[in-house]
Amino acid sequence: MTSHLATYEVYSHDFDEVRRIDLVEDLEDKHLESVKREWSPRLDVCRARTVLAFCALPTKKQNEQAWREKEGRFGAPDSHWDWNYKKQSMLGSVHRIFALLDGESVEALMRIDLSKPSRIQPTPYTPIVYVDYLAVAPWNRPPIQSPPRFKGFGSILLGTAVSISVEEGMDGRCGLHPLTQSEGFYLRVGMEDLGFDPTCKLNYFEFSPDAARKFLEA
Amino acid sequence: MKIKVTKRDRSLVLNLSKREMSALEQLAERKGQTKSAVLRQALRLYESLDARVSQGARLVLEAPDKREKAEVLLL
Repeated sequence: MTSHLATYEVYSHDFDEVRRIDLVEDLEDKHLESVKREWSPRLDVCRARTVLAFCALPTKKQNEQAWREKEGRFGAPDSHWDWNYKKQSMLGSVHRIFALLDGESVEALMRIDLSKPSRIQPTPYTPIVYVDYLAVAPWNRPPIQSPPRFKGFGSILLGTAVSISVEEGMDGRCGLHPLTQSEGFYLRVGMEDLGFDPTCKLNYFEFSPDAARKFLEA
Repeated sequence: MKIKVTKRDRSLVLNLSKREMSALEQLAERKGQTKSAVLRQALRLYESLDARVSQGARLVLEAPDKREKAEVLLL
């Protein structure tokens, strides 16, 4: 059962009107079915384009960096994410999941983990909100649809994560491993790039308390 | 942009000994958190470890010099 947290008025390019977007916690089966029905076919097409573009490269140039570049270009580096599994594998009070909804349409999703430590706080084991997964609907991604139906949903969900960090006494500390093509966004909002993390082959970013405060006040 | 996300509509009266309260206060001081935040974090940690151990994982603590390892039994 979802619980309603907030409503935002957001302009939609597709509908040429301001729509009321609901931020909710938890997902119902109908939302997961909607993601499977509406998101997956579009992301599968993007994935197929990525594979074709990658395979068209000379063998010498077929490396991990080239693969990530193609994934970013075709807008679906998360095409293998299974949101149904991400929901089912949530652990009690450790994980929380949020969605932005336009009526019944799922516009963006985020799962967070409250059991991870900070990597920039000098005191070891200072807890943070770790953003496990964050994705907007395919039609809200410029590489897939330009102009996108909605903009700004990444900021709203990141703001939700930082708000939880403040509520939990973590001073806004919030970390994540952004997909390569999203790194610019996280730098622009003030997160610190703490460099390459070999465990997941992505860079790790984190909000310091000061940067988180500025982000929430912006 | 800050929003109220968490509804805390359940409360609990917790009776602690002087020693337990002192431990909680010291943890809160060291972590720079409220006592409630420390207890919530402890719950999440316990829940997370308990789930892993229930699936057959072992919880092992290793000394800084890596010479000693000891399994922690989660009660």
